Amino acid sequence: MTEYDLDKALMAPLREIPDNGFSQAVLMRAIKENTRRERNAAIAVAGSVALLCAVMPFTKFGQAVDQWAIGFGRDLSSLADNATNPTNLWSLADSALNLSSLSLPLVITAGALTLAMLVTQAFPARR
Amino acid sequence: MDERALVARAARGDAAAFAALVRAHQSRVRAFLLRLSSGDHALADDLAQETFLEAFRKLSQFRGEGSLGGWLYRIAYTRFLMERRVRKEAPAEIDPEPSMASEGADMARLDLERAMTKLSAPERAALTLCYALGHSNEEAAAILSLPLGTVKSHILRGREKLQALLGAWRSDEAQA
Repeated sequence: MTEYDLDKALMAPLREIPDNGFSQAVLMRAIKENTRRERNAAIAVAGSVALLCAVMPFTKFGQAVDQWAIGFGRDLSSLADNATNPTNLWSLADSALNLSSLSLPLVITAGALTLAMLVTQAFPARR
Repeated sequence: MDERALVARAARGDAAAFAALVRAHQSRVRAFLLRLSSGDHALADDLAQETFLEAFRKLSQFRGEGSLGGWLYRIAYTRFLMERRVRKEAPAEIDPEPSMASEGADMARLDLERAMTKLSAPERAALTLCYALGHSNEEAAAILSLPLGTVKSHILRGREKLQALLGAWRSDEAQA
């Protein structure tokens, strides 16, 4: 066999292979894999939140939140008392101000929830 | 549509764009893997599916420095090597007997495919990339993650082996 013959044989393009549903099968598998990844991410986030909730009462932060919640309930009830007695408007305003000063834990909780939602959205980046 | 635009859309999760890319490249990727796997159609198709799935997952990492085809061949070759390592099987042996009627393009192709099974995987890959798929030696070196000199020697050795095998078969055939 000459060099020319060998070159000619090697340079012949590879045999054309018809699709025959190959690309469809790949696409189906890609979608399936994506769905599984989304589900796993959602399970991971839900599990983390559940674990956080379970551990929270035993942490300093959780105990602080607990105290705040008790105080918040007390403030709410005093606010309701004042609201039913409109003669003491100054007291009503004072209670409202107390509520806003206690809003930091609320903001932290909302932030944590937003972060959890963002993580859930970011994991399954593809559809 | 332009391939780069399709890649950008597929990287953002557009399934239709990804399907278009698979349709455009499936034939060559499958044929490349078919040659690497010595004609094992089932293995080649499995590896091709894995290749495209990996490409789908990593499409956002494709920076467009080389061609998409080259990037896909690189994934395919890595997949092939991993599969071979896992299976730890000897490459499939195809009957090396020469075809009795080696006339015409089909017979020449068949002879070449038979002779190819006698080469090592890097030799097969380097020859296929540089001759049948039209990549330069540098591109083949990047695809195979090998130094340029190694690729050149794989090509040289592969050619010598092919020439010897095909030459011997032709002379046997002439004697018969």
